[in-house]
This record gives sequence, C-alpha cells and structure tokens, in this order.
Amino acid sequence: MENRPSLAFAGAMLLVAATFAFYAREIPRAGLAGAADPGPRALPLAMTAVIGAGGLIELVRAVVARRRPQRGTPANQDAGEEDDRQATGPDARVSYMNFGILVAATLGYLLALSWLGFLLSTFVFAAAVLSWLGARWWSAMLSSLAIVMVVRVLFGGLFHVQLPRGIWGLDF
Amino acid sequence: MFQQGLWKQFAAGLVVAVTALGGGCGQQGPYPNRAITLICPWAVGGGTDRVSRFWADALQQELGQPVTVVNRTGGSGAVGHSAGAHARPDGYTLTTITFELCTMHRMGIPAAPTFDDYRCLLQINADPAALIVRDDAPWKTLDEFLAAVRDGPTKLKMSGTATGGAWDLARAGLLQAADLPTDSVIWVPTEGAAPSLHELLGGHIDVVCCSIPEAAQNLEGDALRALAVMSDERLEEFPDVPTAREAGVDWVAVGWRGLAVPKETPEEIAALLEKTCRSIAESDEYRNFMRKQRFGVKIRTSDDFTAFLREQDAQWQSVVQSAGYARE
Amino acid sequence: MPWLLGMIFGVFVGATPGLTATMAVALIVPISFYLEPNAGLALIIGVSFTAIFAGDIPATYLRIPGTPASAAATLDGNEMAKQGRGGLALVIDLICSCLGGLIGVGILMLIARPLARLALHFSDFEYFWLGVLGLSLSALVSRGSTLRGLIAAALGILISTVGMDVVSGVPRYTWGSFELLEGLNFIPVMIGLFGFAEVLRNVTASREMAAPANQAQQAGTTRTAIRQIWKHKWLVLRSAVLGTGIGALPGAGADIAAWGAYGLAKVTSRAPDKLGTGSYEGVIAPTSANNGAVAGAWIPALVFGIPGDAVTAIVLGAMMMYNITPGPRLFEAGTQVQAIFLIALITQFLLLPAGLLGIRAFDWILRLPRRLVLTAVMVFSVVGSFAIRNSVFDVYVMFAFGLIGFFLEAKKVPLAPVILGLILGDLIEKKLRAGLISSSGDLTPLFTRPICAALVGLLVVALVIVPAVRWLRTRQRVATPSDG
Repeated sequence: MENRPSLAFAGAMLLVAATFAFYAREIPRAGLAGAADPGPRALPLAMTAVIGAGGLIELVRAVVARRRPQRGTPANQDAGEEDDRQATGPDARVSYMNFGILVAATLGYLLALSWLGFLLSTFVFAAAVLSWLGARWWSAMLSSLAIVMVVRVLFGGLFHVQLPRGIWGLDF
Repeated sequence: MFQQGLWKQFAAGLVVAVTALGGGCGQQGPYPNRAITLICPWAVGGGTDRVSRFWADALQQELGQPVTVVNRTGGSGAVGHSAGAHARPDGYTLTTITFELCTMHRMGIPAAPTFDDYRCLLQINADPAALIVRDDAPWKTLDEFLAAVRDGPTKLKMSGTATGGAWDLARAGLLQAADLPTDSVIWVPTEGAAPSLHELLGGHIDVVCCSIPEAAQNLEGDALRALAVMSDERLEEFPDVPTAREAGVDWVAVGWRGLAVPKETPEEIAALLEKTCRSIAESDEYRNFMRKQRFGVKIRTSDDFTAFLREQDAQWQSVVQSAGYARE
Repeated sequence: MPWLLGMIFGVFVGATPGLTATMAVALIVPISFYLEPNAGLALIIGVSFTAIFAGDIPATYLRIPGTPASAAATLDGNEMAKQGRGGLALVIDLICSCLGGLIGVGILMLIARPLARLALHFSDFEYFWLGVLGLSLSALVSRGSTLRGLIAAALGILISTVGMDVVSGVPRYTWGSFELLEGLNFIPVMIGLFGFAEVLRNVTASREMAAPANQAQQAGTTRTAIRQIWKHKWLVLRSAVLGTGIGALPGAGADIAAWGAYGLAKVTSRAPDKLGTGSYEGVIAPTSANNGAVAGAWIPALVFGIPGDAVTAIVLGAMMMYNITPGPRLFEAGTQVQAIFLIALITQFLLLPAGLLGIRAFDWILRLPRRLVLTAVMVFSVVGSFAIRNSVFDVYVMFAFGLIGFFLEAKKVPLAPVILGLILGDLIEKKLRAGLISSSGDLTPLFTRPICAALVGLLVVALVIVPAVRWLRTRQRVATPSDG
C-alpha cells in the first residue's frame, strides 16, 4: 500500500524536470571562475536528470500496476487516487472543497497583506477562518483579536519586526 | 460548516479593527513622529549589521522615536539597497549603504540601484583591504609576493569572499595596477572572511584578501601577518603594515559604509537627519564603539560622500570590466 | 537574574517560527551592554543555547520547526506528539539538550585546541564528502520507497540551486526577480512544507474542530524520560560528540549536526525501522547533537578568533565591546575563558526550568480548540515567514511550499530528504566546485587527501556494509523458522 506508484506524482515530477531543464538553458555554461569549475549549469541539469528518470520509473510502475490490478483493488482510472485519499487521515472522508476554500482564503489574505497592512488583514482572515471552522461569531472575533494582539506584542514589541503597514500606514 | 453570517462578520470585523486598533494612523506633528526603519542589506551578525545596530540605537536617542534595524538580505546586497532606494521618501526609511552599491549594477544583477538613487547623508566608516598571509609564508613584502605571482612555478591561491565580491575585486585591481593579469592567481570562492582565514590557517590557500577589522584578532596574535594594506596611508592601529603605494603599486581599495535616504526625500528632513548623523558621528560613543570593534572611522559629509561615490563608481567599473565580471 | 530572564526570552524567540537563534542573540546584545561583562556574556550564551532547544517545542507539537536546527524534531518528536506522548518527547528533548550542551562544553574545555587543529584540515573536498555523507543518510532517514526518497532529495538540491550562484556569480532560476537572488530561504520553505501543509491536511480531513487540538498529552513523567535516556546513554554521548565536532567546523552548524546525528542513530540503531515512527532514539539523537554544536561553534572562535557561525560572530563582537579580545591570547590568559566555561556550564542547568516553562506554555496552547490552534498556526506561519527577511515574497514562498508539501505527503513522498537536499545541496555544490577551482580541475585529491579517504570509507560502511550485514541477519532470521 505504502509504495503504490502514482500517476499524478510521476507526471508532476516529469513536468518539474522538463521545466527546470528547459530554463537551465538560461544559465550560462561557464561562470566567472574559469575552466576548472564545472559551471553553474552542471548541478541543476544533473538533478533534473535524476528527477526525470525517477519520474519515468514511477510512470512505468504506475502503468504496470494499473494493467495488473491487485486483488481487491478496483482497476478503474482513479485506483491510485482513491487509496491515497483513504490513507490521508484517520477520518476517511477528505474534503477537497475545504482544501480549495482554505487555499483561496489564504491567497486572498496574502494579497491583502501588503494592501491592508498586517493588522487588518490578519484580523479579518483569522475571524473568517475561525467562523468557517464553526466558531460563533463573537468568539471568532475575540479569538481573532487575541491572535492579532499576541502577534503584535511578540513581534512588534519584543522582537522588533516591522510587519507590513499597508497603504493606510496603520501601526503595522 | 460554512456559516451564513460570514459577511456580516467581515463587516463587523472591519469596524472593530479600524476603530480599536487603527488609532495610530492619524498621528500628526513635526518630523519625526513615528517609528523609523534602518535597512541593513546584510545579514544579522555581520559587520554592517553591527554598525547599523549601533546607529539605530544612537538615532533613537537623538530623534526620540524608535529606530529598528531591518535586515533585507539577498542578491549580494541588491535586495536591501533596492528596497532602501525605492522606499517612500518621507525620511522614515534609512539605509546603511555599502561598497557593493558601486559594483553590483555592473555585474548582471537585474534592476540593481546605484548611488544616484539615493540622497547620501554621511559616510560613517572605511576599511581598506589588506593582504594577509601565514606568519611562515615566504614573502615578507608586497614586492616579493607580486614577484611570486609573476614568476612562481604554480599559481597561488587566494580567497576572502565569493567570486566577484568586494575583496575579489580589490585583489583584481591590485594585480591590474601591478601590470599582472587578473587570472594570475586562483581565487577560491568562500562565504566570507572568517572561513577564508580558517582555510588560510589550515594551509589550503596562500593569501587572504579582506578588510583589516575582519582579521584584526588574528593579526594581533602571531599566526598571521599583513603584507600590505590598500589605503592612502598607514593605519593607526597597525603602523607596521605598509601601504600598497609605498611598495610602488598605485592602488587603493576601501570598503565603506554610509547612511542614505531615498533620492526624493524632502530637503528639510534630509538636512535634519544629516545634522543628527553628524553629531552622532562626532560623539565619543561612536569613536569608542568603532575602535573597540576595530572598524575604521571615516566621515564624509553629504556632498563629499556623493563625489566620493561617483569616483568609486568609475574606479570599480574598469576593474569589473578587466576582470571579466561585467554583465549587461 | 537577567540570565534566567534572558533564557526565557530565548525560549520565546526560539519557539517562534521564523525567528532564529541568531536573531535572538542579535536582539539581546544591545541590552547586554548595559550589564557587567560576565552578566552580559551569561545573557548571550543563555539565549543562544535556549533558543536552539526551544525550536524543538513547536516542531514537536505543531510540526513547525522554530529554528532550522529543529527540523529533525518534526520526525519522531512530532510522531510521538500525535500518539499523545508529546510531553514526554519534549522532556526527553530538554534533558538531552542539557546533556548535549554539557558534553559539548566539556569537550570545549578539555580538547578545544586539538579539535580546532583537526578542524583546520577540513577544506573544500572534506566538506564535500561530509555533505555527501549527510545526504546519503537521507536515503536511510526516509521511510518508504527509496525511489521517492531519491527524487525528494534531488528536488531539495534543485531548489537549493535557485538564486545567485556564489561560485560563479551568475543568477540561476530567478526569472528576473531579485527576491530570488538570495535563493529560496530555508525557513519559509520549511514552515510551508511542514506547518502550512499540516493545516491543510487537518482541514481537508474534516476533523472535529471544537475538540482540543491534540489529544490529552500524557503527562511527561520525568522518571520515564530519564529511564529512556539512560537506556540510550551511548547514543546521547555519540550524538553530542558528533554534534560538537560538526559545530567546530566553520562551514557547518547545528542544523547539519542534528541531521548527522539522526542518520548516525539510524545506521547504528538495533531497530532502524522504528526511527521516524516516534522512537525515543529519533528524539534523542538530533537534540543532543544540536546543543553540542552550539558549544562546538565556540571552538574556532576561542582558539583562533574566527567565528564558527553567525551567533558566535555576534558574540565575538560583544566580547570586543567588553575589551575582551578572542583568539589564542584569550585562551592562554585563562581567567576570562574559565568564566565563559563556567557560564556555559551553569546555562545548561538553567535550561531545565526555562525549557519546562516553555513546554508548559505550549501544552496549555494545545488544550485550546483545534480550530483556534489551526488559525493561529496559519497566522504564525505567515508572520514567521515574513519576519526572517522582512519580505512578503517569502510569505508566498511559504504558501507555495505548503501546497507542494501537501501534494508530496499525499503521494507518500518523504519530506525529510527534501529538507536535507536543501540544506546540503548548497554545501555540496559550492565545496566541490571551490575545491576543483583550487586544485585546477584535478580530481585525485578528492580521494587521496587523508580525511577525504576516511570519509569515503565511512560512506561505504554506511551505504554498503551496514545494509548488507543487516540484510544477511534478517535472511538468517527468516530462514531459521522456515527450517524448523
């Protein structure tokens, strides 16, 4: 179970290898350091080769595994994926909906960070995530406020980190 | 799981946050009326960081507002220098500018700023490069060393920083001034003076080129000695070390640090900062700090500093080019 | 008194993701100038040791390493926490930190100079082999498929090549962005791969959000902890000695020491398969080593006046403010050095109360509802990634690696080799190329230099002989019952 080859992983690795090999062209072959240096391009190319070869082996294994389904495993398209899902956590159901929502919310938060400043965007983000995860609105607000205050005191007061202020120049 | 009153909460959250915590945005009053940032383009713990932290402390006492050091590292100083040059020109962001400001824009770093993007306030420090060898090295003078470079059976190995770093350029310029090709020694790239000195002590390289304070503790011991220092005149702390000029090589290489604000900073704010910085630079505390840290004090006021930087820019352009490091 | 306060401060900084031990020391140094020299040094030394330990607290409980040296604690320490034994793991961790520190300081006091001389023999090629040795241990460290472990390590190395190449001064994979010139910072990558990915996993697994975040942690009985440590006393000693040795090399620090010890534990363990599943050995080895390495970094600093890492560089600067000149003279003069040794020793004992306080505080946090902890982890992941370089860009890096970490773990790809590749890829490449430049392209010294040859020998032992012996043994064991 543990080492079930995955088409998605194989594909991703081949993609990574191809991308990095392609952009390795932009790295000069030789650097400033002269002929004895293998050059800045050597290692990235070697690593893309390893990742590419690894991806290929994984691909072959995934295809072979699919051709010869093991007993008890459905031989349909999603065989590999299904198992992965089951193995992800103790609770069998995996909500890709939740995944999408959290990723989108975080992305929005990051975008707001340099615009609204740390204080405001974090407060809104934390309150939104908390209430989405089932907290009542007042408890979400209070907890969110507490988180913001803790971060403000720790980072601003104690560690002298200046967090983004945003366009209104709010105190970080 | 998704609660319905979410948007109401968003709105309520905005109101609470703005009213409860946003009180700081309406502060008014003469400059400075809020916290000031001092950008240090180099990592925590290095020389520039230590100097910056002294200045942040001193400025805080003089200006009565908190001054915090922010380390914006990366790209051989490009990230911090660029952030400092493109900060809002309101006098609330200062930058500790360093030597690399005059070289990096010629070496293929995209969108690297130049001294022209800054309004310089004050030069605060200068440390010349020096050639440092083990005490048992066969060369006693710069001349003997250069002769060994010229006629020696094997190429000598030098280090002190990364390829194309400040001290690599300093030694390239020295060789050039002595009419030697810049590739007549092997420059072994390292991460800085400390590991280079370790390699030197271990006998893996022959000469280290770095600034005097970086090697001061070892020069005061008896394992290492300096062949020459690339300054105008001999140093107070090391009166026995001759300058390169005395040995007949007309070459000066000085690592410097200074304070600057973005170019468009209002003149009255810049002038106030300049005056404050100058009084700090003249204080005993500053001299004391720099002496104890073995850093050289060199003060140039705004105009002199800018003129000096223009001169530096030209001097290093030719070195960067002839060493083959120039890139578009 | 400021000493203990300083150490509590160290706990805070170390336990906060994105704030490293270096940062803790840099923040404390200006304060220390107002104190007498010895009190000031005590403050600084206290902070540096505490911060390294405290990094293990969030690594164990939340799977977010507080400092780079704590990445190894996200393996067995975190597994133990998931099994409800996190408190115990941290008490063991704390005691081993003290022991590691004590052993390290002991080595520093007794054989600093011979060890410093030995370290001088390390040049580029030696570092290269050290890196390769560390990386090949990742094959052992990773659980599951060897192929995926290999791919993961290659990914880590590939990531390490992003940025300005120090050897040749050309940018690689920066796509014109100068935020990328310094390369992908290790801390945001790590926070993303471990911390953010963990939050994503929690949310997608639709866990009960109102329940406390971690199941009740079994009270960390000190007696169990001490019994386990006694059982593995040689492991503590081995790891601490290894850590101190690695720390004494200016090119390697506490993070490499921790992984090295973890790999060594895996090679020498009687039950190597248990490492990574929440074993005591996996907790003990890295934490003994990283505190040993903090002491080890003082060796070149005190003997030669050359800082072994950023922390000692700051401390050397502070010493000069007290008119103490580090270097050979200091060592010969005596009294000052003895004061420093004494301070370092007492620090190890003070670490116990300060560390316990930190563990208690985190224990309390984990009793809060899961949703609150998850949200706080998100916010701290963002702030921590930002704080390391004051850059919003790094926050996006954290975010991206959170998604990558989530994907890789869903596909059962081990993350430890990615981190190792990232830490060591840089070292391996730089040192090999610098070595080749130094030898004018000649490869023979790579094998003929004495320490290189020894390291190659170790590599062969670790990769060929140990697995072979182990394989033979298991075959015998399998063969015997089938005979009967």
